[in-house]
Amino acid sequence: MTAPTWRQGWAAFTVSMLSRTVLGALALLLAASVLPALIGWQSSVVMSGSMEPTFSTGDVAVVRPVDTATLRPGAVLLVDDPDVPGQLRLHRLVEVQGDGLQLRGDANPAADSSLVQPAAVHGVVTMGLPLVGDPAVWAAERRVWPLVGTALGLAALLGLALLHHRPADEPPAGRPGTAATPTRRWWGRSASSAVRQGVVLSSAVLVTLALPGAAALFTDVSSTPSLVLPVAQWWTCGDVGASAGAANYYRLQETSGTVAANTGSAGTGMNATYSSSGVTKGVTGPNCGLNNTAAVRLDGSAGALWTTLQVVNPQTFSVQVWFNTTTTRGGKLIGFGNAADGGASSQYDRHVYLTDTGKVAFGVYNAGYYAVTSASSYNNGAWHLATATFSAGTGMRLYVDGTLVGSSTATTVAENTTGYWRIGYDSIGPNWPGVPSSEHFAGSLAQVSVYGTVLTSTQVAQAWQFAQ
Amino acid sequence: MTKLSVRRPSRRATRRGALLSAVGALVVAAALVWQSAYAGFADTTPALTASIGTGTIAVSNEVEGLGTVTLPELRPGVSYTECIIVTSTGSKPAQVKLYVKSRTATATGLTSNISFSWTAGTGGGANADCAGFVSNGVTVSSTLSSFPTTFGSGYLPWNTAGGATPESRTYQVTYSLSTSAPTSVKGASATVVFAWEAQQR
Repeated sequence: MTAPTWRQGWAAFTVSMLSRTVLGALALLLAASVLPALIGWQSSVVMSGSMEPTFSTGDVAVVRPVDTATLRPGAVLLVDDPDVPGQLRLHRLVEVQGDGLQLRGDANPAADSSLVQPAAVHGVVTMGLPLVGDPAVWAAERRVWPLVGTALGLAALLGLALLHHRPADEPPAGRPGTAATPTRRWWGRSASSAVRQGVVLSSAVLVTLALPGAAALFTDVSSTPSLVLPVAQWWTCGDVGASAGAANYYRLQETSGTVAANTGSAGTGMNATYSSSGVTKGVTGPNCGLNNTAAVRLDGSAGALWTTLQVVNPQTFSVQVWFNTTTTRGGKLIGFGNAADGGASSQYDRHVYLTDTGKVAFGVYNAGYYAVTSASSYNNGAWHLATATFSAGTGMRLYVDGTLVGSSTATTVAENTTGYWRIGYDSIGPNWPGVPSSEHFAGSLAQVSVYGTVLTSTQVAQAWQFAQ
Repeated sequence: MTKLSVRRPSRRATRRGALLSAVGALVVAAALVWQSAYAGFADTTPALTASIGTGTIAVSNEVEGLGTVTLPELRPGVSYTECIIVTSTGSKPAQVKLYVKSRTATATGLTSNISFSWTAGTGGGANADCAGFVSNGVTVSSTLSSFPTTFGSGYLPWNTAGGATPESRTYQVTYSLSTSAPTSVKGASATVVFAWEAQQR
């Protein structure tokens, strides 16, 4: 059973030589990927393409331990993945920052988002071995056919490498007399020798399968623009009033008691007093911010508020009040009068009142009844903001809902009175334009304020806008 | 037999051939290794590569590139809601997570008093409008100060399949200033950049 003679020829010889060259090269690569472990180095299979073109999927990176203090940008590092515990990442060091190392995949448009701590560095890549990691990649991706194909290809290469056979009359040197042993098979070699070579080769391949894969990961980041989140200067209607310099500011958020707290600059001495009856506290108010959405409802017959600290003859002032009503009997929203403790005043002006048709009027007395009245009616059950300002220089101005609805410079002086600020009720008398049926206001009030200055149209508009 | 009719290499030639294949194997192996080593250890970072031979990971959102956007003023008790569409166009399967890329504030304690709630879902989102948005039921909430800043701890993981068809997700964000925020933050401002990062999975 000698081998056929064609296997002893030049053609078979050449094929075998070439196959052995390829197998030998593969064996060397395998050895190079595995043997460094003997001196404490590490090998890792590149599992993805983010280090293209430097490393491709299936390359084996041989990693040398390194003193992280000596690292310079440009080195390719094998590190513990900062984003996925238990995984390895193979990327290039681009910058050593104070709080970590910044890495980037050569194929990634941007650096990795997470910094790597020096302690997580396994080492610097010293050598890249192409191809040998491919089986590991296929195994990780559960791709059976390439694995099978590779196995068949290796088997074929092995077969081809053993194709050439010396003639039986030319026994290998050093092994005389073994040329024609009974173990010969059709392939013309001792079966044990072929099996031995096959086992060595396949175990080397299996070793590479066991190499840890380094995810040289692909990544992309999409960011929002720089989002600026400004915090409002004003959180409540009271803040708007404070910024305008309110001396008296009654938020009217009380739920019980007879004291309407003054949060304006005049302090608690200017606290107002609720009438003992006719006031329902804690009803729904305008949208004046956190903890400022309540109001008080006055019944139109007894409910009112007043201050108890005398004020001497204010000649420059502004008053402002949020109101909500459906009354057709009018009534005083706010005014200045000389009677204490909520009584009916004999001297009274600087007042804002509703007419029976729901129009807003602002009156100042100066040896005559000077008033401006809005063209529109506001007794529609919605929240409205009435603002009146007065000074010698600017005369009378009346705003509703932030907009000027009436003005007059016919008088530059208000009545010389010492008195109190009155809210919801005081004398109106028979002589004012559009005099209402009721001096008591029936409806809800909130966020009432008094200023020692003339509010600008901008400040008035801001007060209205805040609650919209 | 035709034994003599086939030209056969001499024993000497066989020996030389064996040597030749050993040397050849060494040369081929060395060439492969050295070539890769050369590519890997040039001490420069290659220029940005837009196209990746073996696949892409790409994520975008409809508001990126707008420069700086100033949002409406915050005050306690008021919250705002907007929607943003994020699109993945990568060819490879990826996981997308949301985190804060950068944050600053002009007042101490502000970032711990601004809260964000993010909900993932579908629909809506054009021009930040949430009309038509349908939540997928997952919402995460955090103050700005404790919002994750890395992919690893990022929020609302979204596994994309990759491929030729772009995949989109709508993110609804609601943000507010705490009702217990100190008055010292009045008039201050915070600046934040959110990022959706896609990592190959």
